[in-house]
Amino acid sequence: MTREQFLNELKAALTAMEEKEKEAVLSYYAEMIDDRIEAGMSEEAAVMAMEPVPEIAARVLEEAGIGEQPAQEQKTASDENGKVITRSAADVRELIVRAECKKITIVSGDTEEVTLRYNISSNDIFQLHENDGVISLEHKIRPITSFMNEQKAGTEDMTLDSILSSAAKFLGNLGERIVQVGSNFLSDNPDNEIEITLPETFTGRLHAGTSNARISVEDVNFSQPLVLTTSNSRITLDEVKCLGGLTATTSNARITLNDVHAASLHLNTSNGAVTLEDVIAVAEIEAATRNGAIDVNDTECGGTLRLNTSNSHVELEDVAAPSISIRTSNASVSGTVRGTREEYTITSTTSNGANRLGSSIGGEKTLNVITSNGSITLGFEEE
Amino acid sequence: MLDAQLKRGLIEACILKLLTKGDSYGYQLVREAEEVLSISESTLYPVLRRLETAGALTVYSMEHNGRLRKYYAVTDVGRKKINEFLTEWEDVMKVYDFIRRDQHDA
Repeated sequence: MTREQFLNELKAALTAMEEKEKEAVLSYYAEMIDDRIEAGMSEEAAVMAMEPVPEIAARVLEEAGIGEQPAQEQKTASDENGKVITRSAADVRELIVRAECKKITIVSGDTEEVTLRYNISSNDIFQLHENDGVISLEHKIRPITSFMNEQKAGTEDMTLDSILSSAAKFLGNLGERIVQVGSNFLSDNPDNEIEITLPETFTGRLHAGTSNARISVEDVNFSQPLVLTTSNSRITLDEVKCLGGLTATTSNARITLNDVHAASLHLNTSNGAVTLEDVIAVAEIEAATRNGAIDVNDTECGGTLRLNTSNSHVELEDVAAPSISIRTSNASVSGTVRGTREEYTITSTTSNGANRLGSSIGGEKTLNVITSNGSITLGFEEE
Repeated sequence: MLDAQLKRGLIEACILKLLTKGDSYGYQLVREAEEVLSISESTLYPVLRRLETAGALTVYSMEHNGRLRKYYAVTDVGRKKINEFLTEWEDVMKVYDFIRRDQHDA
C-alpha cells in the first residue's frame, strides 16, 4: 500500500469526524510515515509499520468520543471494557447494527432514548457512524492478518525472537477467538453481546444483523420495518409490534414468535422450526424453512398465510386467514383452521397417507395443502 | 497485559518526562518511549491529544526537509503532572515492597 492509499483509506474511515480533528489525525499519521521514510524505510515498509486502518479509525473515533456523553469517562471497574452509546430516540431515523458472532438483544427501556451497550475486547473492532439521523454500529472481529502487520518489516527488528513472538501472539489470539466464538453457543457471556435498548415505541427503522449468535427482541413497538439477520442461531420475538413489517432470516436454527403483532411477516430459516404463537398479521405471513416443523397457534392473518417446509410436520391450531397455502413433504399436516369448510375453496394432495381434508369448491377463501408420505388431518372449528 | 487505564497513565508520564529533556516530535517520542514500555503510534496519539487538552504540553510546527513537522514542548502544568505521578507511585511502591517482602515463589 502506498502512503497516499493508506491516508485516503484512513480519511474515508474517519468520515464521522469533524474536519479539523480529522486533519489533525491525518497529518499525524502522514508525519509518522514520512519520518520513517526519512529514517531509511521504504514507503511500503513505513506504511506496513502502521496499524491497520480499521483499527486506527476505531481507536481514534472512540477517543474522540464521537457524540458520546461526557459521563462516559466515569467507568466503574466492572465496565472496564464496557461501552455505552446513548442518543435521543427522536433523532434516530434509522439504526443499523452489524456484528460478527455477537448476540443481539433488543429490549425497551423507560426513557425516550436509544442506547447501545457492548464490551470491547482486544478481538473487537467497533466503528460507529452517524449521519443525518442514521446511526450505524459495525463490529468486526479483528482480522488475524493485523498481527502480521505488527512485524516491522525491513528493519533490524526482524530477529528470530521477534518473528517467534509475533507468531506466538498470532496463535494465542487465534485460540482466543476460537474460544470467543465457541462461547457464544455455550454461555451467556456478556462480552459477546450487544444490547440495544429502545423506547417502548421506536419510530425508526431497525436493521440488526449478526452471525453465529442469537437475536432476541422483547417488548418493543416498531412503527417502521424491522429486519433481523443471523446465521446458525435462533431468532426470538416476544411481545413485539412490527407495524412496519418484520423480516427475520437465519439458518440451522429456529425462529419463534410469541405475542407478535405485525403488518407482515417474512420468516426464513433452515433445519430449524418456525413457531408462531398468538400472532396477528395485517397482511401476509410467509414462513419458510427446511427440515423443520412449522407450528402456528392462535394466529390471525389478514393476507395470505404461506407455510413452506420439507420433511417435517405442519400444525395449525386456531388459525384464521383468507388464503392459506401449506407445503411440506414426508410429513403430516394437522390441526384446525378457524371457520367452516364452506367458507373455503380447498385443494389438497398427499401420497401414502390419509387425506381427511379433501377438496371442494365454492368458498371465497382458499386453502391449499401439499405434502407426501403423510396424512392431512386439517379440520375446521368455528370461533 | 497491562491494564488499559493504568497503561495510559504510564505513557502520559513517560512522554512528559521525555519532553523535559527537550522538545520532540511524534516519531522520536514513539522510538524513545518504546525503550521503556510497549507503545505504538495509535496508543501515542490519544495521549498527546489528552496532554494538550490538559495544558500539559504545547504543540508547534516547524519546517523540516521541506515539510511541516509538529513539535511538542512540556509546560509547567506538565512538569507538575510528573511530580504528581512520582508522589502517587511512592504509595504504590510501598504496597509493592510490602507484598514483595518474604514472598516465596508459589
